[in-house]
Amino acid sequence: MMPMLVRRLFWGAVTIACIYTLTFLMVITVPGNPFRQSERNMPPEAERALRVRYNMDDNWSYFVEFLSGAVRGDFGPSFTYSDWTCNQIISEAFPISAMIGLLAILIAIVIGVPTGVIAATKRDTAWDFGALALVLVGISLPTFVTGTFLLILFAVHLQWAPIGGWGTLAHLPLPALTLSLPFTAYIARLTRVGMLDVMGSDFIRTARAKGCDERTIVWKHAFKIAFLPVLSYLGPATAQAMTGSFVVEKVFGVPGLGQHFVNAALNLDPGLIMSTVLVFSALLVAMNVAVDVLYAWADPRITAAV
Amino acid sequence: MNQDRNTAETLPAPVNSGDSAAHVVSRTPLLAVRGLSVSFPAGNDRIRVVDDVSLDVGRGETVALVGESGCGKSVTSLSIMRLWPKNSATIDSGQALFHDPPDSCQPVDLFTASASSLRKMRGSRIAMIFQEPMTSLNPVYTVGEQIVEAMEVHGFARRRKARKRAITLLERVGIADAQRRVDEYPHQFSGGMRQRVMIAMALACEPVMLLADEPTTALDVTTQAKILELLQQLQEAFGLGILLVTHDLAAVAGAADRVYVMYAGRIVEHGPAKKILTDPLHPYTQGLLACSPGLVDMPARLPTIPGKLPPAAHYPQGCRFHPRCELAARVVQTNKDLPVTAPLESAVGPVPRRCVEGHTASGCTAPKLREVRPGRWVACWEV
Repeated sequence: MMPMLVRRLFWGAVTIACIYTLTFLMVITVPGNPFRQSERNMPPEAERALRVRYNMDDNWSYFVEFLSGAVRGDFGPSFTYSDWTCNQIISEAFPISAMIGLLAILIAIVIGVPTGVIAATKRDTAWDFGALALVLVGISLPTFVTGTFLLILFAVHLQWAPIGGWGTLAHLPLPALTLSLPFTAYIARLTRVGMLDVMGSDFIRTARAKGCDERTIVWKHAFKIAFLPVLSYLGPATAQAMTGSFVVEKVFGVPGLGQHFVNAALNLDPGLIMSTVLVFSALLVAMNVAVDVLYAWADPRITAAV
Repeated sequence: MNQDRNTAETLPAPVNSGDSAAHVVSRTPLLAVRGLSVSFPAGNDRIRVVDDVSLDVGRGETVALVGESGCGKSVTSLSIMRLWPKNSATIDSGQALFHDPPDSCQPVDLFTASASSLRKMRGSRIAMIFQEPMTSLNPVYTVGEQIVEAMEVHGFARRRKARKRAITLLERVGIADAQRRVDEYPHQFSGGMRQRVMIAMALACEPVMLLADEPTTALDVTTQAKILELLQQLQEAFGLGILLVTHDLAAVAGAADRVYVMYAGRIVEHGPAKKILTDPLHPYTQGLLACSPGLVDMPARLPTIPGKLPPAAHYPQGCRFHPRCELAARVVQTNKDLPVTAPLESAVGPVPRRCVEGHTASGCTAPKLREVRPGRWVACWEV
């Protein structure tokens, strides 16, 4: 277990380093310039002075400076929001996105898993088709459609929730629900396929021959194995959900992290681009390591292999 | 040999209990399968793979069900506990009368028993082991947990007591260092050891009946012998009735008291194991025995039964074995009106008169099981 953890963390660090390098290369090669956003032309001396102030006069030194800062947890200043550091922006927006994202993943598990199990155990019945409909809606409708629909239904007509914004607990459910839909659908589908696969196994027949009731067979014998593919999906899914969604934040007016991914790129804000990407990749690596640990705990065959 | 084929013709039509009731063997009954027919869905049609099979297993008796792959023997054994996934096989007719306790006069019909009462009998009164020891255990639970579960499901024993018994059972089935191995996972055991675990699990609640569906087929020869020996020991110790499904006549030689030979979904011969092995009466049994390599005089080339078992959708009319039967080889040549299939190989020999007559007189139905000698039942026009 421990050597596995160390190995996974080492490769995680390598992955983040690669992502950082690639992002950096893209940031410096992309056409445009963070100092020439406005109509007015900046005098060349002023731009040179700014580049020196932000360590950007030399690409290599900027690469090293930003990296050493990031390792210490300091992402430096933002170029667009001139009075803010990237740390301030992220520490403001990330908790909001993380809260919405975690709730979304929780909803996705709580709804998606039972839906998948029911669809598999009641295969080819109305239950199965109902589950399929949910999956289709969740996967094929984009969140700006589902989000708007939920907004109109729950905020405008029923008035159960505020129309948008952030600040109270009441602002939380609608964006979380919207964000959860694609995850719910995918989890339901993974669970259904996994269950159908496992329910045909010889050891399920053994469990029947032992005299186990259907509930034990489904939830104890089949589910623990059918859940494994869902578990591996949950790693990247959680990282993705927690770092926010541009669309969901726009629809509900939530000041989350998702908007900064897009705005940073549009504004050619190198510090914010790299810091948001680094936050996302670190989270992704951490989630995958967590999933690996859980996987080894859930499936003894894996522990033997690593 | 039976001189009077009319006895066969006067028997009732072969629907359910028909000829089945006629050959009930008197002994302490434990399981009596009567007129079992099983079919599988195939498109809009159903294909009958087991046709009017009747068999008995007495208390403390080992009964072998022998036949080649695809003849319906595993289907028969799985049907007894209705271990079919939903929407696959259905039991069209028949009874599986389970006498528990053995001297009770009110047997339970396993085919009509409610799902919950059947579940209570599964594992506790009737246990089953399977052909695939590698995949028959759940990979994510320790063998101990799985054996304990078998006991807890039926309230036979709980927690520490169940665990202690699991260790005792593992020792009993010959697993060394059971105290440690009880906490290991199935992938840490070899195939033979997993089958031992399966046996330990099957015996956990002290059942009276064990269904063993090709328990040694997936194992190597030395392991096969050990597992069969273990089953025999356990049977003596626990007084189990065992239904041993196998394609391996050599296995039967040592282990079984009585043998049922199955061909194309039907029983073609049954009787005491020793008699059948030394003096088989049905041409199919004779062929099967001739195909088994003896240890002493090994022929240069093993004889085979010509042709192969047809798929269940294309079972021939009349005696299902006749296209491969040496005795019936001339039926077609001598009687062109019969809707029988052309034999695969012509044998030299006298025209099988009774086979021709039997098929003609019955309108080409199958010969029924008849007691041709005391305790020897054969379904063949010629015998």
